[in-house]
Amino acid sequence: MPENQFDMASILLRVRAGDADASRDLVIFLYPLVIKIVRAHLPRSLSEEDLAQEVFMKVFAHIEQYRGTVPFEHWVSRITLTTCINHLRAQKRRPELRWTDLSEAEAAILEGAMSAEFEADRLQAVAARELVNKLLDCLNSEDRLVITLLELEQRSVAEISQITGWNRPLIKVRAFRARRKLRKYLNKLLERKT
Amino acid sequence: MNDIERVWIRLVSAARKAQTPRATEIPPGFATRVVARWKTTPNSPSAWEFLSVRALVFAFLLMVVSMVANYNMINNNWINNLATNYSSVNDDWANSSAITDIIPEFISTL
Repeated sequence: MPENQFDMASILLRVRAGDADASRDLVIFLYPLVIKIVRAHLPRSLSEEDLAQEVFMKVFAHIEQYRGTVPFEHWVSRITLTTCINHLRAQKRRPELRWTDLSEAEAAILEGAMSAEFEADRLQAVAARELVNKLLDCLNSEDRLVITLLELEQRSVAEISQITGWNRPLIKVRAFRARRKLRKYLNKLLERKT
Repeated sequence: MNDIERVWIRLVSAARKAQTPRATEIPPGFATRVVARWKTTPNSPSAWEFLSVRALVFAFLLMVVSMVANYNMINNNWINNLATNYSSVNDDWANSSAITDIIPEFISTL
């Protein structure tokens, strides 16, 4: 359903009244938003569809608590992020990353990234993404979220504040600490290689 | 900026290139499955709500049990208090009438 034809207020009224058709329309409308967030913050042990389903169940279970002070999409984004964070928190943090944990492609990309003339092609980009994800696995869920939003999705601090509900100084402090930890892990990884 | 920071920046900028826009179409039947599951899931209260209702029922039962167990004491106490209050009111009344008897005598001496 195109966004301009979607009357959120009336759909929400119908969903609250228990209308199954309106609920299906709402899921179809919100799915692209939810799945993008879920894919960006997906824990290792869960499928994206299962997590998306859990998010929608929470949305429906708490829909009475939505007061309309923020756009409904922002409210849903926050529920999605909180659900992802809770699962990431439950997931055991990787204590550290060792050279032997890297695949051949990841080791090659890391060696390549040490040179100033490094330019990744499409395949190398995938390996780089996997390596970055492994490094992010060493962080706690909140630090991981901040780095993913700031560095991979290139969101501004204001946007992150809007999505997460955290204030700006907290986001900056978390980003600073997370970058410091990542530097430490990367340094250890490179030291052990030599 | 040190070498490690440069390596990290190169890695992250390479990783960004891997983010191809993936399909965000909803899988067939997903919305129906979600709505059906929502409709069949009972509206279970949160843990706090569940505990607070339990605690309220428990407190009420405890109150009833302790009232039954101490019925005699409560009853006697109440009767005693009533009796004491009644006698003290009577005493006050008696005293006050004694005073009213004295007043005319006192006035006559003046």
